[in-house]
Amino acid sequence: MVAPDRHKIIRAYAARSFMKQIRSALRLRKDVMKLHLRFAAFALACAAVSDQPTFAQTSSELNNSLITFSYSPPKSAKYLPMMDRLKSFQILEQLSQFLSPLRLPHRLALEVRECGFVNAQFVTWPGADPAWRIELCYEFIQAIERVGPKQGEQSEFTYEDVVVGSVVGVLLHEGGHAVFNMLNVPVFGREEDAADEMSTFIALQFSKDVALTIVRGYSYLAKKWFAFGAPLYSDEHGTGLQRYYNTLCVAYGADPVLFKDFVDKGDLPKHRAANCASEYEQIKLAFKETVLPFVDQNLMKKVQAKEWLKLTPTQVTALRQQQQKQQQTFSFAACNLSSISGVYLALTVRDVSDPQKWQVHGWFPLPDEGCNYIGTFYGDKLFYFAFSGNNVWSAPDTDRTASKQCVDTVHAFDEAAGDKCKPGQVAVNFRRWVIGPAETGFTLKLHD
Amino acid sequence: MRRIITAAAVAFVLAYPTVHAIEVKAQVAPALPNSRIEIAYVQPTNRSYQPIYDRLKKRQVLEELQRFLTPLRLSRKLSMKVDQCGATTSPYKSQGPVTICYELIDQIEKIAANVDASLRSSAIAGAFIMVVLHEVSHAVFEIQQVPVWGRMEDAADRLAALVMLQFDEVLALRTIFGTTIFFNASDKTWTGSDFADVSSPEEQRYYNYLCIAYGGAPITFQGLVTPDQNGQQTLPRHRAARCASEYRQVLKAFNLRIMPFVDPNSLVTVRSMQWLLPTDIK
Repeated sequence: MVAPDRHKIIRAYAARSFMKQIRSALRLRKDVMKLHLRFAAFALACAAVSDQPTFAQTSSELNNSLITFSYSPPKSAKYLPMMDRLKSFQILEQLSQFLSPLRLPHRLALEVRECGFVNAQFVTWPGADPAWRIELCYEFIQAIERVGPKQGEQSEFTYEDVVVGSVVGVLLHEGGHAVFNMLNVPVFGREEDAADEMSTFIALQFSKDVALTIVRGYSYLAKKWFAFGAPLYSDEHGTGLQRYYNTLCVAYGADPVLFKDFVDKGDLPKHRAANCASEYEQIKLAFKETVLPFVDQNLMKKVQAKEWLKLTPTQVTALRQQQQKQQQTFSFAACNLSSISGVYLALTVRDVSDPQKWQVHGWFPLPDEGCNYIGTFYGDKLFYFAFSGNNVWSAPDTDRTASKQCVDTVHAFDEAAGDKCKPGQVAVNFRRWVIGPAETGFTLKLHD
Repeated sequence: MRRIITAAAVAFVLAYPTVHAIEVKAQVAPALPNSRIEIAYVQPTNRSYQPIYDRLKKRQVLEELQRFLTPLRLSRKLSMKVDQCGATTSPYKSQGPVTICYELIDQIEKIAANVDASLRSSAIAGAFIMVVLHEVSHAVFEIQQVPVWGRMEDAADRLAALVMLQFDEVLALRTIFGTTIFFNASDKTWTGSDFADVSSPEEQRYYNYLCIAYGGAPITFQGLVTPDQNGQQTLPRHRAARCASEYRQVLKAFNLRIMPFVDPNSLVTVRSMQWLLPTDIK
């Protein structure tokens, strides 16, 4: 999803090497047993003989003996409630059932685990068992929960729609990578776009509710998170906005009535919308030619007939409580890494104690070539201004995102933002800084 | 995009003195033109394009393309033409034709005017071939009903880049060099709904071509990952690490889905010929 840091993954696996050593002695026996059982058509019994008790399989008729799943207990206690929520929603059970009609050539593991980084990924790891894995990190889900619409925020989508839709969309995206890899699917375009197409295409093969939930959730994620920051054109992923428009386009191309709003509201420009039917047909053809031969049609019909992604009232309540808990705060530190000494900083921020009001605070002294923790503030952005003698760090007049505020040139001050300047104060341009959706804090670094 | 990559791009071409040393004509029998491909040079109404029309016709550019595409067994006829479009591109639509616009060739020549004189003809020929291969890729996808995962425009770029890499390294260097010069000249800044376009930003396309080139020929294109004095690579590390698998992915797709429509014997003939000799592109 987000480019994974290979070294981090390697480190994460190294930490689990002890477990692997224990498993390796049993692996051969297990594989032989599993094969034997498959041939004896007792696939459902697999989970019972597994030496790896954390991995399980669904026991419904929508079962694929090659797909196992596990909710690995997190090392950090803070993710324990999340594990319980995911288990209660049966997210991996649902995904494994979604994927059950696929005739896969290898075993595939679905795992939620604490990764030490924010990501969801399809990986092939020769040392792991099974080697083909879709991994969803608790950290990634936490980031999604933070990105979701805040309580009281005007949003066309509900919090639960965004969280459920985007998590499932991400899992289907990784499922797309798994299918391309395991089935040796020819991919002419960029694989990351192809995986997005697969995710949206699959979402559209179910009920209208499922299609709406996943398309809304995934497009929300692309726009609010992936599109954050300057586009990185050298990346193998498309830019966030490209992915946003691609998702809307595939959905609109498949069902121009259900997704009419995308065009009516101007989310999807008309010049692109005109091309979407043929883009959807392109994906449909690719799916039919390269993936459908590996799909068990009877099982697929059963999967399509089932009701998916329905939240019970208890689950909705749990998610809404989660929304309430979302700390709309961030911690903030500032460093003076310049060659200038005696730098002072002023901030325009919303205080946690009074989140509705913007306040201008000054002055926070910064140590030469060092950092100071400044505090915890509300929201997702702040404005800063720093100076030392004649040196200033401020926004240029041309910067439309800047905020002009009054600062006291001599004394410490604490004023409501937007007030007229008092005697001894001057108006200066504060530079805006927006916190990344997956960040809980940030450090401002002042350079020459 | 106007990034400072031109120097690096030029450096990897200059690293190969053979580029300018080859003066021998191909010794193998020339391939027969593909009879399923019809060609036309449409006389431009705008007089300023007349010299381009004359040059292309005299140089028999489309005839050469017909020979280049000999191995392709298309299930129906494809027409290719150079024409005045009223815009720089006339994107391929179902049932064709493939149209190369005088406006685009004019633009390529203007861009190449800023390139070192000794490399100018390589830049023009390379960019021209990129544009032609991109459009022909669209036609092949449509005519042969090739299943395409990923955005169609990027798929056409990746297939074009793959084809560029299937000949000798001089041709690979020239075509990739021309491609980088072409995209590097774009000064468009993409914002907001620009990203809704079916085409990808020039800078993204630039990296896609470089990645396939480096992935397919890491020794020839080693210069792309050689750090400059600031430690920066033309192709950043995070992307370069994935290029070998990106190349293999397109090659696999080609072998599975296009190779069945390619005559292997005439492919050998075409690959054994020398294309784009220095004498040709003067």
